[in-house]
Amino acid sequence: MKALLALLLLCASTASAQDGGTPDAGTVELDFPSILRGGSETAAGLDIATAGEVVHPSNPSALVVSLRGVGAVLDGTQASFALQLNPYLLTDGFERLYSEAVAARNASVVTRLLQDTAITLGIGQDTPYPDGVPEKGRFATVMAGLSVDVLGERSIYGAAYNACIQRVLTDPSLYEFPDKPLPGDFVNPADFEKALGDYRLAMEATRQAGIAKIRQGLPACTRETRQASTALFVSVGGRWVTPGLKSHDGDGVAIQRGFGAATVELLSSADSNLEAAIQVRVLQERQRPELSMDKWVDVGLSFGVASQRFQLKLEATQSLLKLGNTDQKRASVVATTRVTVGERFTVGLGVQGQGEDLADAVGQIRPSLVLDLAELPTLLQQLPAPRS
Amino acid sequence: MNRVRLGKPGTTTQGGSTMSGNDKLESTIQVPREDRKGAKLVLERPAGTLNTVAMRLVISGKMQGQDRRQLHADVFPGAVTVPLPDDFLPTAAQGWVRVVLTVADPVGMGAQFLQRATLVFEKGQKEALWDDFSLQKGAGADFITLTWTVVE
Repeated sequence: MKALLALLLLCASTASAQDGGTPDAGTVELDFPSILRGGSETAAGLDIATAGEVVHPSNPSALVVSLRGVGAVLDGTQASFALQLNPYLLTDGFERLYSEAVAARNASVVTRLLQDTAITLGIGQDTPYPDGVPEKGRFATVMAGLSVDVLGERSIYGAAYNACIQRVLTDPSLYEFPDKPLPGDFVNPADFEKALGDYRLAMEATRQAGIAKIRQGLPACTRETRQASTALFVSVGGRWVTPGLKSHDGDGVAIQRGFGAATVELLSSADSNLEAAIQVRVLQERQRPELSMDKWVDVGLSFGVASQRFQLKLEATQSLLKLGNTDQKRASVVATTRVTVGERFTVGLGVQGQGEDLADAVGQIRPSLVLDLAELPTLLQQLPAPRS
Repeated sequence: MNRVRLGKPGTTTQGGSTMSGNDKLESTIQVPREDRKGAKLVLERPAGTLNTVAMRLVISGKMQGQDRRQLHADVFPGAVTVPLPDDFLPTAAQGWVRVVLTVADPVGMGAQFLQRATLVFEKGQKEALWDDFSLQKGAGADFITLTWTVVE
């Protein structure tokens, strides 16, 4: 794992040195997310320390990579590397226009679900077992999760956003470019040349004004869509302990956690950037390698405030039902803040606690550090050549 | 600048009206007035990485001594042929016709593609213009403008 992390950091520094380069056609950039919009996924079951970071299907990202808990200097963090992707953009959307994506969505339920799905794949160092830490490097953890916005109202390809973006692009002032001077209107060629020069400046000014208008319009559409829609996310996933770099003979793969969850957004106020969600999960988890899986149902509540450069998230879960022969009650609390530093990093400081009930969880709070490298590194993935 | 042209690393243009690298954004062509009937603009499907950018097409033009006219305005479906009315290009000695495409990027991933459009006359004369378009990640929006000046 350490070698992998070192390699990634190396990629990051190489990519930053090539700032401003454009990717080749037929490739897609992998980028580290800056602060994600939205994201009430109440831990989504993957990794409690990365609660808000599990990608939200309404954050369309073809491919996003994040390196989480890299610091791992504070107790309670498991360094992990996660890849988050939108299957539609990656398989088909990269060669589609917006209008085609909307038409495809309306023609096929499968396409709609693919557009509104986020897949998260992660790999972490060592094991997530709460008790008993095996020797460093013997094991690694693989995580996979999938989250679908079932209602689909919030999607950028949905009816509300579509109506909004068409309104933005229909604004006649966007198309008020200046008249091109005609040579026949000028007796003196020097006057014509001067008029052409003025024309080019005016063209550029109109272009910049139009870009600014659309750049204002798109986030307004996102806000409008969030406020006008309800989101219901269904998520499933799990994590598996696998042999690590220093594995012993006979070490195998074992599931450590599995979950299914439904999340409803109770509140999504765009203007104040407030967000609240409630989640019901069914979980199974192994406490120690030799034990069988505990199974239970819990309920979680998530509250978030986000701005362009700052995010605060509070999340709590409490078990409701114990299934099978599970006898332990469980509760967790997570509070995370995240700040964008410069243009390239987001740094998160958080606390998390786990216990039998909420009071117990609060009493066992431990700090965690999350460092995201925003928009780095640029790794390129080869895609099939676009159809001509 | 949000926009970086390909072809010549490090060179950027001053916007939609200049030529550089792999672009040909404007052109002046000679077509006698009697040969300007039955003209049409053929827009090809953009070729490259689109990442579901939203595009709208507006075509406008102006003939010498006349007011500017809007000839077409609609969602750009990816490829379209727009006939130009016969009471436009043949009505004066000089004039211009312009294609404006807005490119908006709701995903925020950027896009990179070649957009070609050709002005085609009934008698076979044609003039292609193109923009080797690149919208950087996070740039949000940009324009493609292609302008044909027609003289006698």
